[in-house]
Amino acid sequence: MVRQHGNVFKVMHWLMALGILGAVGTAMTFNALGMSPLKFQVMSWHKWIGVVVLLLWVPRLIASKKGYQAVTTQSWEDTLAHLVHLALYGLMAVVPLLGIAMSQAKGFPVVLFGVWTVPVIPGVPSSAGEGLAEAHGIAAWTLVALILLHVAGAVKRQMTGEKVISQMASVTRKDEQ
Amino acid sequence: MKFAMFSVVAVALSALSAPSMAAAVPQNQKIAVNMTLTQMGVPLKGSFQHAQVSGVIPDQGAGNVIVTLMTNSLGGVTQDAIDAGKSASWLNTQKYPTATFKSTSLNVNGGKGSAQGQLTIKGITKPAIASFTVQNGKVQGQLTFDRTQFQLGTEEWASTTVIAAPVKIDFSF
Repeated sequence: MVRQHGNVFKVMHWLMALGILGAVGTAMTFNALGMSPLKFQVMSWHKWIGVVVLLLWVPRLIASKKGYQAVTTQSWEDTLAHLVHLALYGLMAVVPLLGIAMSQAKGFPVVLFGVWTVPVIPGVPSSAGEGLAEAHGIAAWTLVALILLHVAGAVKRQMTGEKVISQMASVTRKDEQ
Repeated sequence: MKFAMFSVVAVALSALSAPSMAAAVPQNQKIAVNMTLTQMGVPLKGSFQHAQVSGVIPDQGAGNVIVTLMTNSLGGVTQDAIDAGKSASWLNTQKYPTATFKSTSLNVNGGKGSAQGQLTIKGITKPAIASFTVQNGKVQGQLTFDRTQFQLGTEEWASTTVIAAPVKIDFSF
């Protein structure tokens, strides 16, 4: 019996996937829009998703520790997969943090759901806005590239018989944990 | 000795209850005007570089005031927001180069004042009330109005779900 990730881990994984997909989609949308209420709205949604992803990051990390699957073989692909996972976890926090810092530096507080003002990240000068915007973009596209690599790896494992996608997409029974 | 103690306390009390105040009598004096709109809970700030105030703001009693600002002097956080603010949908600065506030009734009591008056933006005049403080001839205050009453933000901007209706103005001179 192959040891599987727990259900909490799986739910967190797909929530994160959905969040990141939503963040990328909204970013591409508002970048394409001219100054309009819709642009403001989509930009707000983008920021809200980013804050939620950041807030989910710590529980996500705990869930990943609990559901960590011991690597049995150590091929170069396993090592790569491990490094990609580490980078994914790091960027999941770095990308929204850079976005929040950028928004705050440019003079726009981030207000989650229009209600809760995210605390100001200390020590960020207003002159850093443009640089942070660039860093946010680079980090985000790096995250997207690594996700594609992660998906490619998962597809390969699925096709070579490890069925990781089927496992991640199904409910774990007690005896599988 | 008792009397001396009493007088010290009395002087101290009077200093507390009556801070030094002086009337402001501006004549075409520069007034700092900042504006805050709210976009889904996020404050959007702008300011007007060219605005003037004239009138009499006493430290006590009745006075009057008139404020004129050049709409084209709008400044803000980002250039696209400034451009949008000056466009026909918002201030329409080409057609309406000025916005004014003229008091009809201004009163100050104990350093705090309020001015009822006529606010004119985009050629539309509506009653508005400003509240302010006067201290050492310095005036500081605010006024809030509903942008929909002045057709600020028409067409796609008219809905108040993204940009809320209240616009807060802060001023000082």
